[in-house]
Amino acid sequence: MQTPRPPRLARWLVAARLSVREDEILDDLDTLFADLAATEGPRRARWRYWQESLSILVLGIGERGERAFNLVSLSMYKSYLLVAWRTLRKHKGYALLNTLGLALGLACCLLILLFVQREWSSDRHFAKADCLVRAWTTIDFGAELKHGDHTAYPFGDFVETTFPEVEAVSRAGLGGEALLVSTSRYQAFEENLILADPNFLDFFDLRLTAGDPATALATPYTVVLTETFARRYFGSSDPVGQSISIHFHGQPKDFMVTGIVEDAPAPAHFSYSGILSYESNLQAHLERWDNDLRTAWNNINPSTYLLLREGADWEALDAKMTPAVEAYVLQVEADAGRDTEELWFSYHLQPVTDIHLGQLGLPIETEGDLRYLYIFSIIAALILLIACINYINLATAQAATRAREVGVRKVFGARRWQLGGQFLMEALLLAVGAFGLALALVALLLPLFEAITGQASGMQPWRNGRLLAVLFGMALGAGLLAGSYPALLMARFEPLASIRGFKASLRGRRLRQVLVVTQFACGVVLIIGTLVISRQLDYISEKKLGFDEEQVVSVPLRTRDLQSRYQVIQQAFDQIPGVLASSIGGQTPKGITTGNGIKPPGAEESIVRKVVAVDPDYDDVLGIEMAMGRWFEPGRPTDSTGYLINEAALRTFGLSDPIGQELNRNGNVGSIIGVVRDFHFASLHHEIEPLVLHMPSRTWHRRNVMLKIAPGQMRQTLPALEAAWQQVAPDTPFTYTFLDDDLAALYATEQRLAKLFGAFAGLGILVACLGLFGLAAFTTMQRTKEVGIRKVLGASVPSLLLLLSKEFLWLVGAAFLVATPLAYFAMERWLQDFSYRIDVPPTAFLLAGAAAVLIALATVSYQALRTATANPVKALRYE
Amino acid sequence: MLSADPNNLGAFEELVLLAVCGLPDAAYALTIQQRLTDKANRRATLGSLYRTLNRLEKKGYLRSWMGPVTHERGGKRKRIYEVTGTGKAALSATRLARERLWQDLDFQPTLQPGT
Repeated sequence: MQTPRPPRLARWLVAARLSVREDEILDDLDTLFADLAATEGPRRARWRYWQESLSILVLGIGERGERAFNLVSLSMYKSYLLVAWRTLRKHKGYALLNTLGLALGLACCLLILLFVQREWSSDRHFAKADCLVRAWTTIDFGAELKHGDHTAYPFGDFVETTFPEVEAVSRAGLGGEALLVSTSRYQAFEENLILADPNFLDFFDLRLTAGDPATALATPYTVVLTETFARRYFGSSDPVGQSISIHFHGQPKDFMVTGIVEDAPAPAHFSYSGILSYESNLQAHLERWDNDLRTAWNNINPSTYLLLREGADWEALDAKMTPAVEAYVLQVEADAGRDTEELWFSYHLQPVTDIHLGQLGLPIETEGDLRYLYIFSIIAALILLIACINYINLATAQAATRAREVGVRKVFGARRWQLGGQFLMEALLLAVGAFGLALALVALLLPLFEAITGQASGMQPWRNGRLLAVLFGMALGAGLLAGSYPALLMARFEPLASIRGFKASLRGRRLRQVLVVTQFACGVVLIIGTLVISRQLDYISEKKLGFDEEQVVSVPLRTRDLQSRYQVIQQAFDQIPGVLASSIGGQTPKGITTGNGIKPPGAEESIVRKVVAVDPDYDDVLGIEMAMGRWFEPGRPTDSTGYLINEAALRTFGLSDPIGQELNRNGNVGSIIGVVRDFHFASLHHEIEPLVLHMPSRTWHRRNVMLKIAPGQMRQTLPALEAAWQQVAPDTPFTYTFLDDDLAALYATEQRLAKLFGAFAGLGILVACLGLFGLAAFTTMQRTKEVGIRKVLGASVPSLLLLLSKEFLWLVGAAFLVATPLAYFAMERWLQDFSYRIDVPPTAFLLAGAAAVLIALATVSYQALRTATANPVKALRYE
Repeated sequence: MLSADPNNLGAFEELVLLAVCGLPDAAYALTIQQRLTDKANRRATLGSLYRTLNRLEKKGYLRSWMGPVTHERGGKRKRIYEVTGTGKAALSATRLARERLWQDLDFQPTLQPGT
């Protein structure tokens, strides 16, 4: 066995500090260590070694001229604190500027940290988080691949029986359409109902406060509800055992309430107000379409979660699972007598903890975005940097006024480390003050911040001790970092020179200039970022989408009953004077989905494409224009089997003369009667995709009424619409949305980014200005005498102003030059995410530059003006 | 006879001196520390012990020399301390002063349980 060795760091520290009797003390320590290691074990020995070493270091044993007092002596710290407090009080303005600057920086940091931490912690709090993976699928859309989180039902059974490392699987249907829910007490469309297997509760630690978790979701048409949801529908009576009517696949079904579930744990990638048993979905498919989902590999619907055994490697499983699923499904197809060579989907896995931040870009993941977390973290770092620079700048500038103090202290025998300690103590005192102020600021700003980021709940900084500790550490770190340079600089002053009035401030001048340039460069980058983002958002909102989204109200028909009575509803709406046109179709341009089995003219294979059902009035409501041929017309029976395509489809299908050519959609063959001009039916992040339009032929093709309202008539028309709705569909609540709002929601992330960027840019500039203001105060004060002499000799106030501001203008100019390329590349990179985008506008740079110069001038000129207009006699008497 | 001033010896200094007295020819930092812990229930860090030893040496109550390099200590050096005559006188003076103060008291020193 190797003999344990004393801790090397402690031994080195002792050896480095000792100059007298070094050997014997080290030998004593080593002997002690050896004895203890033999009797009480190496751990205790190491611990004791550290204790004894520290006692020697702290007491300064063995140093030349053994210290007369201890490092731990309270009286010294008391003196430090007292002097620091007095200095801060003497320079109130300086202390205030500094504390405020640092507090603002820290507050920004805390807010951003809270946001980042919350985003990051999503789904990580589940007990089984490390063993949970979700399956996702790649779907071959002919020309391109799309990712989704939907899987086939039998996939779960297949992996559970095939791979031993899979302990269990659970299926869930998340994010479906709003369902009409009613009891005798209440009725509403509910968006947040999910479907899940019984073990879903177990996978994600969801607890039932009433009911049996093992059986609550085991049978068809059962549901567990959250407390608030249950209270809405059942009041104070016990909901368990009662029935509740839910429109399921378009028809009302009675569900049995089997339990009360706690609210979804935040933050997680799913949320719910009630959970329906997945069995309900299987049963409904059997009843309605005679379709057994249990064996249907072609119907992709639920999300499938896999619980892996402890220590199983999901990546290895993923690698062997993908081909295994493909081989199995091809075999199933062959057994069923279908000849399939290739599958149009493939299966993959991802850890549940990766879902929220969306490294894969699946549709359900878009709310959290890793890139924005990086952007915000960088902004937080920039602002903290600006605040630290403030401190260094102000403190080194202030050195000029304290040079004499330092000199006198040195003459009286102050050591360099003692002086350094004094200045560090001041820095730390300010940092602690700034931390307190930052907490107050955060408490004030948190509601606003939550409103902007759209995270209404869950951010409770006061309960998060670790986060607070980290932030306090950051404050102290910033104080130390910012205080160490002035501490070193001032402690180095030559006592004689500084007592004689040596221009100490000149020593830190070059560094100060560099720091101011850095500070303003950060500020300019933030301003340019804000301008570019808001320009791009303006561009998006003003871009011609190819249709007119203004004044369009969209009323969803969410039950089969409503869909089959569409004529009555449409007629009722048409009689209202404010309604200019009405149309019934599958979706508004926002929600157009994909359909499979499209076979373009001349093509061999069918592919998956965007498909929408429209009626003859769809183009009137939206003002869609035709490129070739004509729109569907009422009264032409052949049109009901005809097709329209958009220009993108024309290009993709490679047709020159499309009119009259035959297109096959799941066996419905019809001829193309026209080509519509391209219009944007998805966000401008994406190119316009090929689109096929057809007339509604099934009940569920008529899911949405769109109404064009006359300009200025919206306010009178909406109540009339509701009244008309009550007449024809008294059983169903009236819901509607505005099409322009729906479209704007596509850019919610960018809107939030723009607001946050603007807010933080403003704060960053504000902090930088605080620093500049303080710096200008010191530099102009130093030139008081010079200004006085110049004035006596006849210099004008404007020329003096220029003299005093010139230096700062140069610095801001340099900052602008540094910031321009950085901002250009950063914003160019951000804009690349948009298929339809502006070029980085040169005016943004000009504006940002002008703003920086103006802000700097305004900040500096107050001080300059005061000095320049002062009575020269006073100035000459100064010092 | 009071040649030494009893007020020139601090409480911890007195303990250290006594500990050194009790370790003839074997008093060095670690044994002194151990003896203080065992007999006086006084835990002292090496740092404070070194400092007190240095101070006592400066006052002339202790003298020290480098002990022989013994095999037992693995070839390590150690500084051996011994109480000087003035040191012993100071200890006696302190004890005498204490006993005179104790004499008139109507209670006897008792051991607290556990000490």
